[in-house]
This record gives sequence, C-alpha cells and structure tokens, in this order.
Amino acid sequence: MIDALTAIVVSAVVLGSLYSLLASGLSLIWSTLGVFNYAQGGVLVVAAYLIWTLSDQVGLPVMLAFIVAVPITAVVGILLELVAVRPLLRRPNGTLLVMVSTLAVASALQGALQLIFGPSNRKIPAISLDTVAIGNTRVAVTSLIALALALVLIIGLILLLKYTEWGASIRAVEQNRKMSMLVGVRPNRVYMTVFAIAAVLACAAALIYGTTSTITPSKGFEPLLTAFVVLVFGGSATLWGTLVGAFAIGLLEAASSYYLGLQWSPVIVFLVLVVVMLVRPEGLVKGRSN
Amino acid sequence: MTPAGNTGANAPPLLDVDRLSAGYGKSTVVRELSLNVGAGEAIALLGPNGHGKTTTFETVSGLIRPTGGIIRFDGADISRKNPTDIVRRGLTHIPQGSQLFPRLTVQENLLLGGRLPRAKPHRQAALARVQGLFPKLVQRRDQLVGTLSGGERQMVAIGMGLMAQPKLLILDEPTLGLTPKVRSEILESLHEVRASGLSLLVADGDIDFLFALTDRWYLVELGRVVGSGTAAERPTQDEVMAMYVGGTVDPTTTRGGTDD
Repeated sequence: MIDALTAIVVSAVVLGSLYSLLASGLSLIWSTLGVFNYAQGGVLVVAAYLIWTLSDQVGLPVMLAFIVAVPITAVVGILLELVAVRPLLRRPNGTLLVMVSTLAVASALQGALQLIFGPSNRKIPAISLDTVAIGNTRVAVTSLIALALALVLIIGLILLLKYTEWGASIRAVEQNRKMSMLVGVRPNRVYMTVFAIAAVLACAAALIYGTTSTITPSKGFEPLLTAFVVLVFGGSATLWGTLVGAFAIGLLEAASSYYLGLQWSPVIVFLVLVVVMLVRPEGLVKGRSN
Repeated sequence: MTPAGNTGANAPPLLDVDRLSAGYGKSTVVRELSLNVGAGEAIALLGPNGHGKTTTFETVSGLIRPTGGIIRFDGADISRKNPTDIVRRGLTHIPQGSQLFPRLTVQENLLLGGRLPRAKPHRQAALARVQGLFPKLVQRRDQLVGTLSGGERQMVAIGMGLMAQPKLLILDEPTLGLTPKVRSEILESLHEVRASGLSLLVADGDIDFLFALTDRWYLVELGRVVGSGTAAERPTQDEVMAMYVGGTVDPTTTRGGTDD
C-alpha cells in the first residue's frame, strides 16, 4: 500500500514538474500576447534532441549538456517570435494568424527533426541513478532534481515578474499595450523576452521529459495537450495557478494510470477538465498574479 | 502668465505640427492641421468630439503614422518615429480615459512612468513631487490602480506623465467624468505644474477648465483648425455652444464662467 502511494506520488511529482514548466511558458505567452503557442511542444522536443545530442552523442555530462542547451533553446524561442509572431500579431485577426503560424512551425520542427534524427526512440541518459531515503522509502534523485528545477524556475519567474522593473514592464505590456508604449516600454522587446523565457522553461521540461521517457520527433504534441489542460485547470493567466494545476493534473494522471491503466489516464484527465470547466470556469486559482 | 501668441517670434516652437493629415485605415480624420506649442506655453485644443483632437494627439505621440505633413518636436522631425522614441525625447501623452495598468499598484504605475533614461536618475525626487501634488496618492500607494476612483486614477495618470520629466505633456480629456470638486483639485495641481515651466497641450470637454489653464486655443472642426486665439480672446458662451453643436458636450460643463 505504501509502495503504491510512493509510486504514485513520485510519478506525480515528475509529471507535475514537466507540465508546470511547459504550461508556465504557455501561460506567460498567453497572458502577455493573448495567443496560444502551439510550437511550445516543438521547442520542447528540439531542446530534448539538443540535450540528447550533447550528452549521448558528444559525451557531456547530462546537466552540463542541459546548461549548454539553455541559451541555444532561448535563441530558438527568439527566432520563433521573429518569424512566426512579430510579422503577424498586429495584423487584423493577428492572434488567430499567430496561432496558425505557431502550429505551422510545430509541424516544420517535427519534420526537420525527423530528417535529422530519424524516427527512432531516443533517451537522454539518466541525470543520476542514486536514490535518497525519505521517511521509510527511497526516492530517485532524478525526481527531486525535476521538482527542484520546476519550483526554482517558476517561483523565480513569479518573483522576478512581481518585484523587478523588468517584470513590471512585462506586466505593463500585458495589461495595456498602448499605455506601455507611451511610458517608453518596447512591446516587441517584451514579446521577444517572453518567448525566450518560455523556451528556457521548455528546455527544462525537455530535460525531465527526455530522461523519464523516450523522445521521438512527434513527441511534443502529447505534453502540450496536457499543458493546455493545466492552463484551463489552473486558471489561464496566473503562474501560481499553473503550478497548482500542473501538480494536480500530474497526481490525477499518476493515480489513474496506476489504478486503471495507462490508457485511461487521458480519459480521466479530460473528464475532470470538463467537470472543472462546468463547476469553476475561472480555474482552480482565481484571479491573475498581481 | 506667458505672453500669449508671440512665442514663435524669436525661438522655434517646442512642438510644430505642420499640415498634418492622419486617420485610421482609409478614413482620414485629421486634414492638414497645423498648430504649435511654444516652450512653457499651455495650449487648448477645442472642438466637438469626433473631429480629430484625439487623432491629432495620437499622431503626435507616434501611436498613429501620419499620412501627410510634418511634426517637429524640440528641433527634430518626429513624424515617423515610434511612441517609445518620442517619449524618450520628452513628449509624454496621457490618453483619454486610460485605465493605465489596472493590476499594478499606484506606486508601480508611477515608477513605470519614470523608467525612461531621461527620468530615471531623478525618479525619487519626481515621485516626491507627484506625491506633494496629489497627497491622496500617498495613502493609495499600494492599492491596485484598477480599484481607484476615476479622479484618483486621473491623478495617477497625470503623475505618470510628470514622472517622465517631459518637456511637453499632452492631456486628452483629463477631467472627463469627474466631479466639479475633483476637477478643481486637478486644475489647481496643473497650475502648479505650469508654474514650473512645463508646456501643456490639452483637450477637455470642460471649457472653463481649459480657459483657466491655457494661454492660447485652437478650434478643430472636421480635422482642420478653423479658429485660434489667446485666452483673452476667449469665445463667448454662445460661440462655444455653436462650436460644439453636433458634439456630445454636456451643457452643464459649459455654463458661463469667469476668465481667470
């Protein structure tokens, strides 16, 4: 019984960390630009292949490979903003155009990865094979690293947004683009920064994803879909909500795959999503971060 | 008071709008409009709603690209500059009915107003000055701007404009929807601001407020300047009413008042 509980909690922690990192990037882009970035899953897979190449192929230690991959993924995020967002966002129906263009980028990335790496399963080497004793059970260090990565990055981001001038200018563009320009903020620069941050968060998600499951070029879509559920579940525009929602969904998915089987977990997740939308359409955590 | 109308005689005006045309998409709202604001001058833009005052302001501050004409500010052509570059040169525009940044606090809004390179080194002094001008904002400093009354929000808006340490402050309808008491508070603080030498370009539905504050006026109709004069040559009440026919000005705001 305790083993079952431990297995579920550990699995929930890993899934929650993954979803919270992916969804907080989506949430940041959604609240700042009002668009859903379909390429976020694609960025995650690109980052996963980067880390895999640097570690498995080049031979760097996994954490070093991750650190090298972070700035490269940030550049991918910036390019995404320059190519798929900036030329379209201010046009009539711009938000719709951007969603379509990010979807196109997602497909293009998948195709490119297929050409470069082929369709076979890849796995990033384990960060660590050690376990530590917590209470009377042993927990893999990898799970704890995943949790620490998610909490440090997301809470760090929340604090930066709240307490720095840089964060205030992002929130200013989010709340009133016109007024933000009139006080001298450059919205395009803010959008670019937001995409870079989202890409870095996706890179951290890629580390967790690629070490706990196998990656293929088409693997980005599934966690993206769950991250979307997290957004709705947690309340679309607050990072605290995203954090809470991600771990709630992680727990739900872990528990349902344990007790009902892996194929049932998406069914349960979407069923609960429908119920939450009916009962609490504003999401679990009300209001926006302020 | 600054001697009105003759500022252009020896020095070039601070703001020189020359045959400006602008609009939205295919509709032209402003047609070959010319006006100027001298250093230290306060200018009123009169005219019915929907005749191009707001469009003029938005074009001057770079939010809209002009389709014709030239805008010069402080000796430079700013006609094709973006709003960020223009505000950095010292021209700040507080738009009509702005909700500002509703989920940021009063303090955060004010500090954002002073984040420009030209203003940042003097930001604490500017903040103290704004708080001296609007003491109410001191008690409200940690309150979200979205929860303020209209008058308090307008005070934050003007305060944000001042935080940028501009050479010219453009105010679009600063007393819209405010009670007479709050209007006179705002008028009083703007008088203080004027005394410091800041140039103003103001549009407002409250004619008495405008004439009490400004040195000169331009009357805009259908996107053109159709009249201008000094505060001393202020149009009579009947003329004002005639100007605003077809506008949506509340008659109670244009009741006869005294020149200051």
